Amino acid sequence: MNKELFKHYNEAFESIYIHPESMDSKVAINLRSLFPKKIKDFDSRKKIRAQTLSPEDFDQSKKEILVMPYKGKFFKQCPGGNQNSACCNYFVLNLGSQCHFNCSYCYLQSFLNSPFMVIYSNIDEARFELSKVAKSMKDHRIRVGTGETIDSLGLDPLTNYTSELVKALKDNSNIQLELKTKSNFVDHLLDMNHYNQVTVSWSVNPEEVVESEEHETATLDQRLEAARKVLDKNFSVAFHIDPVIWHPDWEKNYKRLVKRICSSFKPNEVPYVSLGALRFQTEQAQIMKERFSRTSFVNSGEMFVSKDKKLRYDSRLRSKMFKTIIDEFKSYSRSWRVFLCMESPETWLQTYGDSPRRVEGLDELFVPKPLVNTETL
Amino acid sequence: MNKVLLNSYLTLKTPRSYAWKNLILSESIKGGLGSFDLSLEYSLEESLAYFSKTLSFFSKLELLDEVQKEYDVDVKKYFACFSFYLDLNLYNRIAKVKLKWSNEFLQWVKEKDLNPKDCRTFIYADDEADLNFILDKVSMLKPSKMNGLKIIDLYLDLKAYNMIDESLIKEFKTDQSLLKHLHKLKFKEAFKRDEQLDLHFSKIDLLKNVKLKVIREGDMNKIELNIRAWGPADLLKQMESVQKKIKEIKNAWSIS
Ligand code: SF4
Repeated sequence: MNKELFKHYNEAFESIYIHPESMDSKVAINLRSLFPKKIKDFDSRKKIRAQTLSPEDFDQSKKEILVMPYKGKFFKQCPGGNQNSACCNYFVLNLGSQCHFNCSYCYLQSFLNSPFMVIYSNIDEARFELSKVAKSMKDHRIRVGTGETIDSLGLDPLTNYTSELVKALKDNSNIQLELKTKSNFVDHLLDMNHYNQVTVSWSVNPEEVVESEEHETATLDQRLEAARKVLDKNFSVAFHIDPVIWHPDWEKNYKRLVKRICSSFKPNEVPYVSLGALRFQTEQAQIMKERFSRTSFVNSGEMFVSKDKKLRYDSRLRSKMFKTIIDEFKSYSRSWRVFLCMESPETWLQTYGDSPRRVEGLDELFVPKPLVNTETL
Repeated sequence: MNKVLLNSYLTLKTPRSYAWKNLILSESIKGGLGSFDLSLEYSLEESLAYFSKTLSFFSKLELLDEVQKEYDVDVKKYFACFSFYLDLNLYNRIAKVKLKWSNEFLQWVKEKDLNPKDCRTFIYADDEADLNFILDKVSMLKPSKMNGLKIIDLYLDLKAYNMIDESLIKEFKTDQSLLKHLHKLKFKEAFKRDEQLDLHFSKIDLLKNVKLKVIREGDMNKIELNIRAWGPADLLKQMESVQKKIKEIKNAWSIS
């Protein structure tokens, strides 16, 4: 690990607790050798049982690492597909929860109630599950993401979990592993054999939004530079403009973002760009106001309760924002493949004039896959 | 220890009264003590929790304030007796800001049985003057819990953006009218779009008994069509008249 990265983590974390069952795991050994002074007695850890954490406790939870084995099933079907949103057949593998970055809209704020950033130590079991699912669905290409409850690469230089997971790709050519990040921590990936089955995707936003809402994350330029680095090593690269956030200059800023992407990448280098508008659970609204000001971009838009009970912008405004971004991409090249993520069929219709499975170039992404029964893994 | 106060809790809220060690929680012991054994194996927190279980959160806080004048009460342990794992940061925050509330507002908070989660709407507000202004208004209007919390939240949002005129707020005599006003200000753009669309619809030349209206359902606005017909033949005539205007309807929908 280089000095800069060591400094980054050293400043980010205050304490590390290791569960007795995780003592001999690779990640625990690595953390002990890197930060011996931060290792604390496991029994002295905080034991908070609250429905939601206070702003102070949530902030603190980002600074305290807990290494422990995960007792449930790692592999899950993406929660995006339900009766109100079109689903892009995505599976998730959670290797921890919480994140040391600090985005004002992060859904973990209303989702987590643990006072720690948890790293699951039993990575071998996760890899085993991944192989098993791949084999059970060998006739289908499946996309598996690790960035649902933690940034996929935020801690990767410490855990080396990506290099563990790629071992499962060798005999399972139907898996596409998707790493989703707002970091630029890619140097440790560059010499890895990824079997052309790893997509590193960046969640991107205009620099103004990054600065105002995505605290502690890499800048837009750093993210795009990192994307170029992995692309040059034949990884696949994708971008998520998600969440699209309304703010006074949104139109100008999102057009500039598209220009920035299109001037650095060709459409054939990026299999897809996904778009999603800001959305969050109603109870998260208050937490966001407490932790960030009422005047931050995420708190300034007009949000309504939608069918799925989440707060969203007015559907016509969403369509307008999506259309602006899609049209901008298409003005550079018709070949850009841009699709909407976690959106209602109505918004697809308003934006594209059709449902996702009938939009040329996107149809393949939306072919339904069989449901996975995780109980039998 | 203010025995009179404690006594009033007990007589008001519980049929019996209890004691813990030498702390007399009520002087008027009525009836037996049921299954609750007053032996020393119960902690102060457990004893307090036992007889205050029916009190609202804020009445519990008031009781704690009184008892804490003479005894050390472990607040976390006390709330844990209700399977209610209180976040201590939240508790401390509430205990601190509560001191600044008027009696009227405190009364509203107790009457409406606000819990710590409800209080998150306003206990982190930055500007004390703004907050006091709207809390006073709520105390005056005595809205339901849900309306009161919405009024406070919307007001603080609008105030943060300087989008509200305090002198105008003073004029509102009911919580519903105030809430409607705040709503219109907060969702200004969406209201404007809906109104514009309504205006365009009103300009479409439809038959007298056909009405087109924009309605809002959460994050969507929808078209409501209302037809009053004298019979099936008339119904068909009216529907055809709408059909003829569909291009204009589409136009109005796309420009606003
Ligand atoms: S990077 Fe992702 S997980 Fe981390 S704080 Fe931001 S939104 Fe949350």
